[in-house]
Amino acid sequence: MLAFDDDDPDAAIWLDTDQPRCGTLPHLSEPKLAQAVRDRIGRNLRAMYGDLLREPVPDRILDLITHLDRRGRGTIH
Amino acid sequence: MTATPEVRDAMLAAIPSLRAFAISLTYNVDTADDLVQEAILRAWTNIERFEPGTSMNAWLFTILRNAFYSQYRKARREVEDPSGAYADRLVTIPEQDSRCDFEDLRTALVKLPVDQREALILIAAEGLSYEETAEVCGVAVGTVKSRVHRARERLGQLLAIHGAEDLGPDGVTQAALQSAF
Repeated sequence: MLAFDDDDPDAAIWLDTDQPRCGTLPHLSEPKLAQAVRDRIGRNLRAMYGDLLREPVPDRILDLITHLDRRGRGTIH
Repeated sequence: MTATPEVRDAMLAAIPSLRAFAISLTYNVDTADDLVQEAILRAWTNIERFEPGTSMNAWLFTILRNAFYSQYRKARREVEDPSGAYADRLVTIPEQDSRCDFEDLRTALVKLPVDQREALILIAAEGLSYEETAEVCGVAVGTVKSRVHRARERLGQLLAIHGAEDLGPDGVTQAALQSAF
């Protein structure tokens, strides 16, 4: 029944019904797999960065801005 | 020279992004906060160079990045392996379900050259445009695109094995991926 190149793993998964692999599941081609991995990396990257964005800003940074702001206004008046 | 309240507020609003970017560059919270402080000081004293209507975030990123590279180059002269030293004192990220994913990702990110890492973070995580990122990094848009491309390829290679194991709750995808390997 294999009227195609035996070395083609994609074709074998689709058509080798005697030994079905994962039932009727679609087989992901290599580019799609790579895309799936890239998507996952993108999601994790944003999630990781999101955690950093939600971290409270340390007082020393807020204090610095307050200090600069006051000093700036002080020189004007 | 002093910042108007609007500029000050824009700066305050930019701090979380600035810190996240600094941590992504240094992988060390203390070093990152030093960089953020230095960037704010430099920005404040050069506030007249900020062009109203442009992105405050991008402007501050540029300043912070310059501060990072002048320190990084100095550290490179002083220490044999600065990235190794940074890696020893990694940032702790809050525990959560995808903690293992994050661990893998962080480990992989550290392995990227810093120019690729910063481009990827600015585009994929911070959400700057290629044009803004090119401006921040002082390179051509094409260079940013190629750095991001190489960063994604490399991360994909570094994480591909784990990627096949658990791509999320989608069982169909998961089973198909297992068969693919």
